[in-house]
Amino acid sequence: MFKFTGFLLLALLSGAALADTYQLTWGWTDPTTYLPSDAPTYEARYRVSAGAIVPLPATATPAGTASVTAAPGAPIEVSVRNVNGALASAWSGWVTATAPYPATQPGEPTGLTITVTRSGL
Amino acid sequence: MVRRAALVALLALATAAGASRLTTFEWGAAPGWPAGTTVELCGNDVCETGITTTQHTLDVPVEPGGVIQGRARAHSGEQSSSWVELAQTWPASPIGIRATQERIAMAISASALTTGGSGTNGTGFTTASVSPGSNRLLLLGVGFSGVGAYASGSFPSCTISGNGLTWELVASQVSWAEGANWYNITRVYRAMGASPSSGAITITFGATADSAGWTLLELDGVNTGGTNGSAAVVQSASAEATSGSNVTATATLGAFASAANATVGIVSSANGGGTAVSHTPGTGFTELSDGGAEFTYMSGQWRSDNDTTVNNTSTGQFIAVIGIEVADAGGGPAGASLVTPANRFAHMLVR
Repeated sequence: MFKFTGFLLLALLSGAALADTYQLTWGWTDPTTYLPSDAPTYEARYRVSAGAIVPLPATATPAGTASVTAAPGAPIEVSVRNVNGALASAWSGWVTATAPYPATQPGEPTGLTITVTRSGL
Repeated sequence: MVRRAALVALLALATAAGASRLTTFEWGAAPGWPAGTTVELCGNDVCETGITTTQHTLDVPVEPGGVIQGRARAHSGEQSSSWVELAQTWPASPIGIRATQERIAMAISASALTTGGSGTNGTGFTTASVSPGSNRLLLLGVGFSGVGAYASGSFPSCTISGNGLTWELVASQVSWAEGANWYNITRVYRAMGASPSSGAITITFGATADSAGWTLLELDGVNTGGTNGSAAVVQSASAEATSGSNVTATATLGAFASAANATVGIVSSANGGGTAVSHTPGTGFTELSDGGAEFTYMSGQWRSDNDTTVNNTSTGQFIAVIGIEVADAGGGPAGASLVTPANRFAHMLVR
């Protein structure tokens, strides 16, 4: 218990002291069929660890990138919407940004052997 | 007569989802409209008449992704303007949202926190107070000028304390060795901590120094792994030289582990007469520090990229150069999670 509490305290202290910069990349599909006279734009916003919402500049395509500062391991979430002039879709739900490629999954151990040692009479 | 041009309809607003069909239209009223002019407004064939303001909200039947067709005309007595129309699509909700995050490799930066020296004989020396940053690589170059010990091959010890950090030796280089006479020994120490304290660094030698010098470099954007900066220091090499004047020494490092790694040089030099000297870093290096006292003048130099040739020229007569490869913080993913299938060895992975 004490060990766990100590670890938790250390983790909290470390989190407060460290911050990394991340390249945040997002994209989505706009299923809307627009009229020729429409001029759709696309908006995104992000938040770190469910904190303050940070709006991002509108883009001409449903995609974008941003530089985000966050503590290692802190979830970075993105929410987006489609905009056409004064008309806008509802904001999407929050989507957590993931690593661009998965962590390497270790293979199964090989050469497993079992040794039985007599410990009693 | 109500002029057609007087009525300009603009679709202005659709409210939030849930009441999403509530749509506000607004338009301009021409100055020439007779008193009592009203507007008839329709949105997707839901119409209202007798509107006297220049904006109005209708409950328009439309779904996300659909088109809002608006039209309006003005009435005054028996006369009406032509319809003014507009059409605008209400965007559907986004689908297929994807987002990735990738830690950006920070470029290494370097600065000197303090440089100094003392010509007063002693075993203990203290730097000015410094405030190292969190998780920065600290490289402390320490020069010791003494007499006699070189002949025995036994050099006085040196311990470093300060800033709540553990200082570990990276490399050392003896220079100006004249048998049983004078010699200098240059050492480089490393340290790193998440929360270093502010304060002076104390340098304690195991024998009396005739003079001592020091220079403290701080590097950011480095690999913070290991302990006390061990992952940030990839390799080191050293060299020394003696000459009548303007002496140059070159430390040659091995091949660098990464193109993003930086090169640091710690230099110590002096004149046999104890007069002041200055340093000129090798091509491509930036001098971060230059100072000291009597027989121990120190300099720090660096470049943000690779250079296996770490060289420096002193106006003095003997010099020691210690070159160091510093590892950058590295890029790649962060926060990636291991997706493990249910497998019978799971317990082995988590222990």
